[in-house]
Amino acid sequence: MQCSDFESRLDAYLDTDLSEAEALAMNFHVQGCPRCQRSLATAQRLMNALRVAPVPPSRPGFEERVMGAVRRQQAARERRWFDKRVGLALAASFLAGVLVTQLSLEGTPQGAPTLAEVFVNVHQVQPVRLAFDTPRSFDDVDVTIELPDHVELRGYPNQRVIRWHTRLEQGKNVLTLPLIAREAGDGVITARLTSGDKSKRFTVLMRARGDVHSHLTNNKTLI
Amino acid sequence: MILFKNNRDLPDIEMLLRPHLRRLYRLAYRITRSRDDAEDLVQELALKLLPRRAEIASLDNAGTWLAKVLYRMCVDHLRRQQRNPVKLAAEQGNDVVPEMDFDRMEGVQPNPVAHLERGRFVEQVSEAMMQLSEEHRVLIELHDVEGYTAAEIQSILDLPAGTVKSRLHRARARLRSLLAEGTERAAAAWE
Repeated sequence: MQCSDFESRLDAYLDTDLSEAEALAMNFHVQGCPRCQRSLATAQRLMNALRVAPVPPSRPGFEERVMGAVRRQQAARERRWFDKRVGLALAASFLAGVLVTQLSLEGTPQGAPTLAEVFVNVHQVQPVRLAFDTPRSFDDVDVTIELPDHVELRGYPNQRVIRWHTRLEQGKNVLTLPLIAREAGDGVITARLTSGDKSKRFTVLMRARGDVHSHLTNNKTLI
Repeated sequence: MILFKNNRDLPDIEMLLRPHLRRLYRLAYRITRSRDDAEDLVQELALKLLPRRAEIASLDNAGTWLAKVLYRMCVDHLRRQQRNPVKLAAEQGNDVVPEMDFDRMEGVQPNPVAHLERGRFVEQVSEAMMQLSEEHRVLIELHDVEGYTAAEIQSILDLPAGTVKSRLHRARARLRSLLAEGTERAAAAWE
């Protein structure tokens, strides 16, 4: 081995990146070469100096401060989420209720449609509440609502199919649909929940009447 | 990659982040050279990643991933500082003069003269480091000072493995050359 070879492999030698044979050759060369001994000693001294390069310690309680800030933000996030849910539930003070209990998407790729019934008045916004009670949370759920021709979701005129992506928490998840029937008649509202390759469909029979009285069905268990 | 069925199975954010905080602080300090900035950036990182708990929990090497995110934040921070180089008077002087970490030095003897000489050499190395380009300095800080492996640096800096090695080689050569120049200047001053 030449001194130039030793110099060019010095970094790899210090980083123990050389093969056993290469490292042995380096050792053998350096033992008999005062110039490369000096190079190696200088490089090792530099490495040692770098290892002790100073860093001031963080202030006392640094980790606690960081984790405290994280905990506060986490609590604020949870509070916002809770407020939103409670706000939605309160907004639906006048509603037609349909309770769907024990939603389980697993093992039922195409759940048989089950019908609940709700009565509404024509031309009046009628919050129809669907409550999905799930035994566990679902992170990625696609919700599709299909409406009959004479019914609209407030804010989505002439839109028969509304889709969005959401998350279902363990327990009761309330979905409030502010619906308006444009004319009297019966129609079927379909709610489809899909998570991965599992899907479940629920149907609600909506009966729109021209009179001023609406009837709420009793909460029904659909599953 | 670890997969979690749902959020209830996920480890607490504190469990995920706390083991990495000290090393992240050191990394941020190496890049920013400011204790205040390093602490603030680590806290900012922790808050930023709060909604990404599932992602962190699923990683095999969360430490490297966190270092990568923090490194980018540090670079952005430095760029912002460069655009606005005015530092408030209250911010000045807050950074302490760091002490050398001799516990990490191999073969250290409790000899006051040797200690002094080593201290002087470490200072020379620190000065030479500041003369390196940012690119070279960061590589040496990460690899030789903080002990990140070439593979980790490849991920943190988003560079090909070969580039990390060759650039590190050039950075060390430049550092050695700067130190040699400094030694020659010091010797000339005594003549």
